Amino acid sequence: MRNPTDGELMRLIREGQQHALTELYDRHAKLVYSIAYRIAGNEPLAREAVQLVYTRLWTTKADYDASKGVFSSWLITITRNITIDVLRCERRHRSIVPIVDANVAATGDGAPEEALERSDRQSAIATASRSLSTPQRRVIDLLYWKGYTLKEIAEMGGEPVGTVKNRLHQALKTLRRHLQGLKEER
Amino acid sequence: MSARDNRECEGLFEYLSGEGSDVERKRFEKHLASCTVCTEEAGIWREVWDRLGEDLEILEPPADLKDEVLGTIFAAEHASELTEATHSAKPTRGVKRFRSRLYVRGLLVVSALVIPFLLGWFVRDLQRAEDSRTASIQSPDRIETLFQLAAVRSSGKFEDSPHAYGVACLVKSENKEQFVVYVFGTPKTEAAEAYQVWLLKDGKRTSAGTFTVDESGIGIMALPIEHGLPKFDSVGITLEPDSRSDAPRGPKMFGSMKPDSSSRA
Repeated sequence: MRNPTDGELMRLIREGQQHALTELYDRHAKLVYSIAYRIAGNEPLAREAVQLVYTRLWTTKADYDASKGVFSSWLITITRNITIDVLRCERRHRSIVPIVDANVAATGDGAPEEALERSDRQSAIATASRSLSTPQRRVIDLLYWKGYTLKEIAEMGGEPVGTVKNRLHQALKTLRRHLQGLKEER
Repeated sequence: MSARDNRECEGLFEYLSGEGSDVERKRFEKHLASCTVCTEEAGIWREVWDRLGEDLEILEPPADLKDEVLGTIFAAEHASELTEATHSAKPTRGVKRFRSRLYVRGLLVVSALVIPFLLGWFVRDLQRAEDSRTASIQSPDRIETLFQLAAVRSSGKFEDSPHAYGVACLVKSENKEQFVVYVFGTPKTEAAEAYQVWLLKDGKRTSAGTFTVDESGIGIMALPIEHGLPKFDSVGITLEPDSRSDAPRGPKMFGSMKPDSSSRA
């Protein structure tokens, strides 16, 4: 008998079938935990985020719609949103200036770049991101992986929001060009 | 880039990254529908943005995480079902019953530890309750607002409690409304100490009540609401030297994220 798809498991979850959630955990916990850890930067917050993600899957009223994309992309979006909420909450409560991030923004080297190096596996997007300049990678990292707003990123670097947006625009265009190139090569 | 030449186009990246108020987002959606420059730019964004998450080193989750995550969820579900069985309730049908199930499952986050506490004194025969479960279809409570509460680790109080968290919610049933807060994995209160729950709106703080915590690390406050609650958009919990604080004197222990909205993703 074939294995149920992720979408079918989500339907079973709506019916309250616990084995379906267990199966989704077994299939995707590595992905969920890895994203949560990459964003949160430490195990306790990553664990908290994973708990919230699977609780959301179990209680969610917004069903997964297979016609709108693959399940893993949907799950990545949920995980990212939830982990960034957790991280922002933690940042607010720390109520201090994010010194590390401010230094990174000012000097152009430090933890985010190291993190990027560590995660630089042979995925197309990782290959494409090598073509970005350091400031372009930084803006992607702070916006996508760290959940800072454009305004916050601009303040960290002491530059106008327009400059950050232009950099982001250039970064996205470069990434797309390289992704399309890689696709054509294959 | 021409998008920067038009003031209306300025909000594109804020819109795409989910920033801004609902009003701003709706306003921008109208602009987007008629602007080819922004539409093209949004296309590039979507093509790339959804793939950024693939740039990732895959890690092995801690071995105990599966039991912790699923155990919490299923224990809560079980407790919810026991609650259903112990209520006398009117049968419901069709869509209402289906929605009811969602509401009951929405309760699971609070119920794993809260419900045994609240109902323990009259849930004397769990097996009997479980047996009768199938015959009793619940008209359940509804969670109107749910706040996830994150531990404030900078308080320095959670060094031995790496997994502390909690929830706060408004629970409505047919004839009553309750404000329920529960936390777990939190330090026990010493002497006259008390955890105090604060409701916040525009920086203004109102006390909602206090509770204590024993060695179990579990804290609960269930507040019947007879005359309504003040409006609030976030919840904070402090650890006070006693239960008589008019304003926080002790460290902040928990703070809310935005109210849960399951349709975000």
